[in-house]
Amino acid sequence: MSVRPELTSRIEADDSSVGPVLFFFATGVAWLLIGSVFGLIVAFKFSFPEWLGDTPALTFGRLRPAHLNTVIYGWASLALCGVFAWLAVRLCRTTLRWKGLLYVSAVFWNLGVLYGTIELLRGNSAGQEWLEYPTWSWIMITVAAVLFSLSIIKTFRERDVDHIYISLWYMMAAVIWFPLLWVLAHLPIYSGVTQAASNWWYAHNALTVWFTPAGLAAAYYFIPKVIGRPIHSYYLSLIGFWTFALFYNWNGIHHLVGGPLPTWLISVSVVASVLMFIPVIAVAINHHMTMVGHFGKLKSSPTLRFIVFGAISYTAVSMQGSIEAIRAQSEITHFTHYTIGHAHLGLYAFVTMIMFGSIYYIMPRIVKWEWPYPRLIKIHFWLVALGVILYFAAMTIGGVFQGLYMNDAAKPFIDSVEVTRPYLMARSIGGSMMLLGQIVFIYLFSLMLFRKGAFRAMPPWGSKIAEASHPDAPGAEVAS
Amino acid sequence: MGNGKKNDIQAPYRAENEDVDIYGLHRQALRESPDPVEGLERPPWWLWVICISLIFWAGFYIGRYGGKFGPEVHLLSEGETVKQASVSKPGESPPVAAVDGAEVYNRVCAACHQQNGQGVPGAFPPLAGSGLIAGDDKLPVKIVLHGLQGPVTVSGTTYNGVMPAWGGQMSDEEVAAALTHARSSWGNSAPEVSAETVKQIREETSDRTTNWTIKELEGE
Ligand code: HEC
Repeated sequence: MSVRPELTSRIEADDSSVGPVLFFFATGVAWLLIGSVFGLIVAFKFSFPEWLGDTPALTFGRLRPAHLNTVIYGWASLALCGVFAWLAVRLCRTTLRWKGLLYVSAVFWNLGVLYGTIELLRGNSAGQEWLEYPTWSWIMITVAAVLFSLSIIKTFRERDVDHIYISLWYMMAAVIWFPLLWVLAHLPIYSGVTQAASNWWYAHNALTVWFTPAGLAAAYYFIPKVIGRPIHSYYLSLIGFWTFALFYNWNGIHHLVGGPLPTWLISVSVVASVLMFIPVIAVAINHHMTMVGHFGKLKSSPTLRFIVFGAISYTAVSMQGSIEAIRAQSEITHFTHYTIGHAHLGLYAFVTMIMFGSIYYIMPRIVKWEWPYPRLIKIHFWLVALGVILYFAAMTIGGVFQGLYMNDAAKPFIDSVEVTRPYLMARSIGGSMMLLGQIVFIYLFSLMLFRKGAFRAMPPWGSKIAEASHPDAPGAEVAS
Repeated sequence: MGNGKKNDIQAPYRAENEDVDIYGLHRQALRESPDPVEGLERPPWWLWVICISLIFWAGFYIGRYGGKFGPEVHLLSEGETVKQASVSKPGESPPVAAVDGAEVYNRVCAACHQQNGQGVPGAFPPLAGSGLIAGDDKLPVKIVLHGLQGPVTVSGTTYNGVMPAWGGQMSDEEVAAALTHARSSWGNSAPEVSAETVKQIREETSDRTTNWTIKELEGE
């Protein structure tokens, strides 16, 4: 294999992936808006239970799964497909292959999510958390996932590099694992306790093989890219990847601590969850040591700000998860709002923030137009960052009280509900801030799509002059 | 090079047969740093310490809480070892050391009769001040074991509902403890009900499959 000059290959790579990447991003962002509105309504219902209670489609039992499914299969999955399509091509130093498949894939993802969400709102849920979409929906998403993987794998096989960068490891693992997982979890062969086990095996593995690798792949690329130095250690990348692959897929059963499964199954899962400390620490050292001495760049590069926020959240959410799996804690916080806080730390503070950061980097390169209003990017960041911190803090503290009250036989159940009220209100406020921030983001994103808004010149990376004239973005980036 | 001809604002400045997009190359070179590579630093020594300790702990944990990999061993909690834990088979009640009557009452009965024993007007009779519960201990035991239906008058109010049978789900000790709690709380002060009494009544009435009515009970 010959290694072609990087600059030329970067131009070709970016040019070849424009279409599908924009398609994935634009539709993903639309689902983000829809899913967040669902989520916010659900949050407010905890404080005002009668609100919108008369319309069946807007009742808690339907909106809640609609929220979950639109944000994971609509927003997060489509956004990460966009990031994969752009990043895999770049890292393979080639052009995007079987591009047509990607368009078809994007169409099927969207149809699957659209149809599934409508069915959920009409009350036709398949009944298992994370697997609520009805049959046709999962068939469409299966097609989408398989086509997507084929195109990325083909691109990978046509690569023109000698060394496979760590981000590419995670991405290739994800595109091979996810379709397998998705199909296996939907086989109609589980019933009873086995179904509960397969359900949570799937739900946790969706994070293992799909969202987490995406977040890590992006973080591994953008952190060194933006600050312009190598990633700290190849060995740490390796330890991180392989222990991740070895331990993470056993984690799902910790959702059933206290459930009617054989004890050994749960114990093995608890152990695997705790062993996740190893890959998480390896990744954290790797990212941290790369950043050391360059934290100043957080001020100037929005991409870096989002990505580093996401990477720190990854460490936090994983360590929290490891401890949450231990029986002593699970007995208190399982089945409380604490778990919801944990889920948002993972899917929002980690995955979503990294997706935002990636989109800020990728968009100017594919639409050839700079982000028009750096100040709005700042507003976006602070709204969603503070919002999700408030959300997480409220749910975590409220959840612990809720759990302690529920376990206290002397207290009536209703006390465990009453005690969470102020925290649920705080959660709704955090959620509103997140939605508001996203509206700012969506406004910026639409300007980019149509190359509208203030014209800003390209900021050369690392130049001092750029730093002076682009107060928000210089060093490496304008908003990128 | 570069398919983005449409957006190629530099086109007028380029020689016609120039196949290298000089502008594009410069743009790329100026716009961002080279793609990242991986450094070769050694992992810190303490990472190995953490790895080894965790793996030791993992072996210990599975050994102690793995339930010997038996498919029948359920619900082992952190402090228990296999021997202490109940390996209960269907139909057999778990071995209980001392059953807390208030806990059983709050778990099973309070949903209907309320925690304060006042019941719910029009639906569930109060246990506080009920002559029946404080009287002969056989009747309440029978009611809890096999349920009660049909009209019943408690403190001057008539209720006509159905109380389900609990015999199948509660051990003798639990029935005794819950009733003892009800008989000694909220102003009631009747002697405790022993597990032996419950056991005895369970055996005597073991062929019963329907709920009692108050007539049946009082007629006896
Ligand atoms: C599902 C609701 C429900 C639960 C749970 C329940 N009960 Fe009842 N209980 C009733 C109803 C309804 C009646 C009245 C039945 C009737 O109208 O014939 C009743 C009647 C009684 C009576 C007779 C009251 C009287 O003074 O005549 C006793 C004693 C009693 N329950 C004890 C218990 C105990 C002890 C428990 C817990 C082990 C319990 N109940 C759990 C619904 C319930």
